Amino acid sequence: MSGAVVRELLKRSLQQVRRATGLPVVFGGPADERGVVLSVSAGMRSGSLDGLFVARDQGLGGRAIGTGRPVSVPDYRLSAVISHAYDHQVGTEGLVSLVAVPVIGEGAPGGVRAVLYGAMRQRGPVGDTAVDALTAAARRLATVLPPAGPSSDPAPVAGSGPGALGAVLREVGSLADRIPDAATRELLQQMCAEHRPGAGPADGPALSPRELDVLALVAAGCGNDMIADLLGGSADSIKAHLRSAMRRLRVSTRLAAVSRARSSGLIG
Amino acid sequence: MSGADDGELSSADIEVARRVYAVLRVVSGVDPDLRERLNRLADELHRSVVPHPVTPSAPALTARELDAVALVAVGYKNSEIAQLMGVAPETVKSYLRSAMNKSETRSRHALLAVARRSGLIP
Repeated sequence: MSGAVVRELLKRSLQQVRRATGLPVVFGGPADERGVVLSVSAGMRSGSLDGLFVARDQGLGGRAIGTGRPVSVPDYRLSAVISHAYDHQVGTEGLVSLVAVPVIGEGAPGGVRAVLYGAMRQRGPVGDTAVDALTAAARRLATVLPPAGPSSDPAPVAGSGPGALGAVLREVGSLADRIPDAATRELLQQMCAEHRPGAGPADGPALSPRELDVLALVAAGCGNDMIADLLGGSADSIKAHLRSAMRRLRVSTRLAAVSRARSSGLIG
Repeated sequence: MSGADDGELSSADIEVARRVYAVLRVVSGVDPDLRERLNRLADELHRSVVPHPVTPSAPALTARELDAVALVAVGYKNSEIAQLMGVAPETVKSYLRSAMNKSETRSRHALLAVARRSGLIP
């Protein structure tokens, strides 16, 4: 599972919690025993927390990693239970009341896999409903997130960027004339003409947030049952969302829907 | 160099590269010169998405099995793959069954995960 897929799973789970609970801000990131990298969020305004590394036992998330349990503070600035190493970043974003929930992996090797946060911009405890929703999301993620390892995201290499891809597609397009089979020829010509690498995706059909959640998880290799577990709802409702997405994308298989959604820039 | 050469491929770029790669592999009825050029372009597409070499633990799939797997990966149905490869749907199924046996997987998705992770397909 690549780092991008892990981030996608975290993002979808957090967005789901945010929609279900009305929490104004959710964020989090992949973690191990050393700390957590804040890499996904929804509802943020400043970006002051983007990419921040929160070390074990530091701040709220570091304490959640250290104790292996959810930790909450009704007023971050005044809290005596946490180190105040990140006051500046948290203050810049205007977050006051926060909860951090660790995702503890199941099976060997155990250990923390991620940290999920919920936050409000005013004082007062984050409600039980929100804490329960984050805890439930953490439990579901615990069954699918792999231990943090070396990132398997491909490193960019020289001559492999959008410019190089554009050149290859142009060459394929020009050679396609010489292909005798009409079906393959037209298919290649169309694929090469439709796409401008690096120019951003062409407009695709609009999908609902729920349909995008489901497709992103199908793309991550999850089956309907696991998607139902991760997003809540029944496997039948997941199937219905998928069918609806396939209809809008005008494709007839799950993988074609994933492929089409990716090339339209709808999912990562 | 122009700015377009810098930066990484987007997910959309990668998906289009995968689709063109899969179809290029199964173009038939062309002269040897064109075949060679199309092969080279397919290789370039492959390398643009997978810069590292195929991992040593990758299952040893035949070229035809890889053709089928690459087409499955971009969402084609067995019947469509059969048409593109110029073989019967039963043959496509047997390629995929064999690929799953070799990669010790039991679903299309798991097969694709192994094939992508090992760098066999982009």
